[in-house]
Amino acid sequence: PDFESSFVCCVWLCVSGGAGLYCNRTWDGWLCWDDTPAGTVTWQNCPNYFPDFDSTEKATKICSESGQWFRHPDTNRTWSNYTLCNFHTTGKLKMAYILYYMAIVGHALSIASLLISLAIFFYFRNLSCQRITLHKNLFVSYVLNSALTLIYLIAVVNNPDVVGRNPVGCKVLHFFHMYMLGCNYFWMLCEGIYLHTLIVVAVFAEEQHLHWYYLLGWGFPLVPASIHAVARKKYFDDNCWMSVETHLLYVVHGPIMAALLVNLFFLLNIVRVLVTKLRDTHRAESNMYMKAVRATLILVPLLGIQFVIFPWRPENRLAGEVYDYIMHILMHYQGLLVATIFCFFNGEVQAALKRQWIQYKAQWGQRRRDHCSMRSTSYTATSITEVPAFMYHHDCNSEHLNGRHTSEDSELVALKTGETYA
Amino acid sequence: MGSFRPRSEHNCTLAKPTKNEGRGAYNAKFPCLANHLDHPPRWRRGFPPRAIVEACQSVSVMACGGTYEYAIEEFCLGKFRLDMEELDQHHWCSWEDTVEPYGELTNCTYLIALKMDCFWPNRQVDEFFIRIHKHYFHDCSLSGRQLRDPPNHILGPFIVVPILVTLLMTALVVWRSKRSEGIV
Repeated sequence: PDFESSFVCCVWLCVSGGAGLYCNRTWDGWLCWDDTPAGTVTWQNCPNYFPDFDSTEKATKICSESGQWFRHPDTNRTWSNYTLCNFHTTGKLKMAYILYYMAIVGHALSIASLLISLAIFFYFRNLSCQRITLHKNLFVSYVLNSALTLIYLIAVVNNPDVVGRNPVGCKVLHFFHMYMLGCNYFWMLCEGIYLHTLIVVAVFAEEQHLHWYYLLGWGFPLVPASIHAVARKKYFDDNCWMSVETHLLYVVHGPIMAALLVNLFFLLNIVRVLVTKLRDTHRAESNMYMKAVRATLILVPLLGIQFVIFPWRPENRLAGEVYDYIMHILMHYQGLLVATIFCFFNGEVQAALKRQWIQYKAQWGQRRRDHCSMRSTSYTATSITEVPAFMYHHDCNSEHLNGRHTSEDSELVALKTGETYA
Repeated sequence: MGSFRPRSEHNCTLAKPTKNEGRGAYNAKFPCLANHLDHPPRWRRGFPPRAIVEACQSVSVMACGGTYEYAIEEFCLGKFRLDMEELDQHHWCSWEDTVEPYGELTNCTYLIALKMDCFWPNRQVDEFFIRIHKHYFHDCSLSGRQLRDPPNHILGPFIVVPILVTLLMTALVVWRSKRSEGIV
């Protein structure tokens, strides 16, 4: 037991007490117990002196009707009930391990799917446009965040002696973790601002300069992360900054929530504009952008809801476990979700992949027939590659429609007008 | 009770005798011990030899009330008093400075309880510590070293300022991206 606790407790013991029949404040060897009215049961959180004591559980002490503390019948000494402190520990430890492995799997899956998406975006160069560039940056930030979280989980969280040693490295790691978390959400905000500027403000006009987006996405999150590091060092410098019991975390989560709210506001504004004003004048583009916005509009609340329900963990054990599972899925499988919604469910990407698959099949078929050297087959193969070239522009290249476009695109634009995209 | 630090007689230092104490007074209080010694014991680190104490235990009925109380005041308090006097009174409330003498004092009471076959902690120890606290620590603050959040007038700005800067930065980016369009 901790000398410090006994010191603090005894200092406080000397201050005089109140009136009425009550059990005197006392130190039972582990915890300090306040003056308690007679005939009541008082409780407080279990101490953390022992490794198998769960400090979220409650220790209780009974004050009898006569103003004396409860004595255990076997030893006839005053006795406090600490049995709940390590009663559930094995079950909770098992669940903690399950959640830990779930988190690791989530981040690993996220990294894998994000890398595949990035490969797709880099390989199909004709998918490229400004919005896809923003997607790429978003995916890179998610990959880095997942990687850092994996390192943090494996090296620090699972390693009590590292936490005990409290090296500077684990605090630096925590700082970068907060920075990458900020980057994720600020890149989502950049996507929202880009769409907003494109649709509401400039109405499908020329290309924007992306420098400010890079600044907001990569540069600005350093500000909340640094402020959090300074505040944490000065006021709540626990080992490896692991504790989540502090309101100082809001230094990082506050700006993130603000970014999500602003993003939501922009997206709703876009929807309003698309539905009301542009419906009549630019029908084709309006439908196109509705689909683009739809993806972002689904994603923003999903990413944000974890911050809304985070403070409210249910008291009930079963509900608390369900809450933990849901929170872990929302937090650690985000990369997978983002990659799926922005890349795998993207119509153009699917079309490009399908086209590529057909091309490979045709080439493979051609190679088989080549030894008979039939020219008609090769002609068919090339025409299949050429014709759908315009299809994967339609998400990003409204700028091609209104502004400048190269000469070879002009006949593609002619092909395009009047089509409605499903 | 949780396990205490392992028994070590070297941790408990004996109190130095006050000037008025002489051999006579000592012998009167601890006749059993006095019978085994030719001269007043030299006060040195360590407890009276174990054999002597154990022999004494078999002879006299150990009272875990008054005798124990006297024993801890006699053996433990003096050293603690000297240590605290060495420490400037202003530092009495500083835990870092007082932890060592305080720990030795606690250890000493525990060892004496062990030797006298008394349960530890007990009422006498509690009252002993309350007296010590009333004398040395009565005006220390109760905050303790538990990590806690800074007060609201510090926490507030730390949270609000980044949020405001975020909103400002967002507005800046929206404005600049609008301007780069060349839209009036």
